[in-house]
Amino acid sequence: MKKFIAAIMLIPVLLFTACHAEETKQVKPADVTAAVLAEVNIASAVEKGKDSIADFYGKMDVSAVKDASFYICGSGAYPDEIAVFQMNSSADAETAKAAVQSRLDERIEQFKTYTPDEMYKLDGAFLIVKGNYVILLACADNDKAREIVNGMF
Amino acid sequence: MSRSRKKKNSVSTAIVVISLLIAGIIIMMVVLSVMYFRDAEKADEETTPEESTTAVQTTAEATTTTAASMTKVTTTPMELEGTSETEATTASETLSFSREFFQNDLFIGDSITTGLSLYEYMPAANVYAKVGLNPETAQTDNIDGVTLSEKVSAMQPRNIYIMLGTNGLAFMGADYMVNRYIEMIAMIEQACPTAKIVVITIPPVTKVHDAAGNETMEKVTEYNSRLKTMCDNGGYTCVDLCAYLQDSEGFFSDQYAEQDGLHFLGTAYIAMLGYIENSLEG
Repeated sequence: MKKFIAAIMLIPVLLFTACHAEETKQVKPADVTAAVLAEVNIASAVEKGKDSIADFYGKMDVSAVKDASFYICGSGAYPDEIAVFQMNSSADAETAKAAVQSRLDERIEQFKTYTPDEMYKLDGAFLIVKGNYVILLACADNDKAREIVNGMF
Repeated sequence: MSRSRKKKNSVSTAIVVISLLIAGIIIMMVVLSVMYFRDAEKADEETTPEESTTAVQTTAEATTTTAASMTKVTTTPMELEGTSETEATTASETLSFSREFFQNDLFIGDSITTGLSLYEYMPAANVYAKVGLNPETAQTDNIDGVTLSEKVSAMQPRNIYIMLGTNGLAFMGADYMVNRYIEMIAMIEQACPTAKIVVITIPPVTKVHDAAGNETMEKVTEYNSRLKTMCDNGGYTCVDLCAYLQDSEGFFSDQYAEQDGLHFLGTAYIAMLGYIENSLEG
């Protein structure tokens, strides 16, 4: 009887836990990138959105993206990139991470002989997955950028 | 059954019923709260305004080009809608270019040329440019798996603007680069015999960049001089963008130069496109 009662009481606990297992604070990607850009400078920063993903992250499944905001250097001179992708699910985020990693690898390949002095931004880049978010931070102060991002989730 | 046993059974039953009731209430609360937050998120999405692309200039002297003054472009050349003009006011003059004029054209270049599409002055489909590209690597390299020859062949552009050479200045001789340039043009002409080849002289560098010794105005001037001779010999159109972007001392004008003294601010692309268009129409 006691075991039966204990089992019954366990059901709502398990249900409550399951409902909150994937919960990540939902923040607009543009708010995150804006917050980073407010404190970490990118020369000639240009903001891009979901409609530009295919041009820069060719391996990402755009249909799995709920919203996105990313900044790149418009002049092509510097490798800085701040990108936030809000995916439809955490499973999609794990898949998208590979696409973002591919982009980062490509940038490293391009800039390692082009502007070696700028490589610290890419070598020290952070690729973060937070629930259904994938975040790339490659800038002059990656630690600061990560601190800002962590504070928003 | 004894009285105490009966009592015990009743209590047990009551406990079970109460437990089930509590469990049911908690489940209902959880389901309702999940439904509530999902609806709240949906309401937020519906009221969120659409974001636009904004270029942010970090150099105090430069002109800021806002999203309001730009017409959003699509990514394929044939989808441009009519004639639209993009204007920017510089310190000395108003410059403009017509997107329609360039809609069937292709820009070939290095990291500097990538800015044409990064700033969305040109659709990505009209730009074949890559960091580090030079007249030699342009013949064999690829961008997202597409070679230059394949791009030209597939697109069959009206005009092909080539601005290459900055990346070779530090380690290639001018003659060597020009010879590779000639090979590249031959390859392009084979892929699209009808295209008009327009050679754009490579841009100047700032005084500070010049002093570093890698890409100097002496090397830029020598190379551009060779390019002009190549154009005269080959019958190609040459647009002297370098001269147009220079200041009174012969260096890259501060109103156009990125912090590194080599790449372009957004204003430089507007100036470049306006100058090319005027040069070809004039």
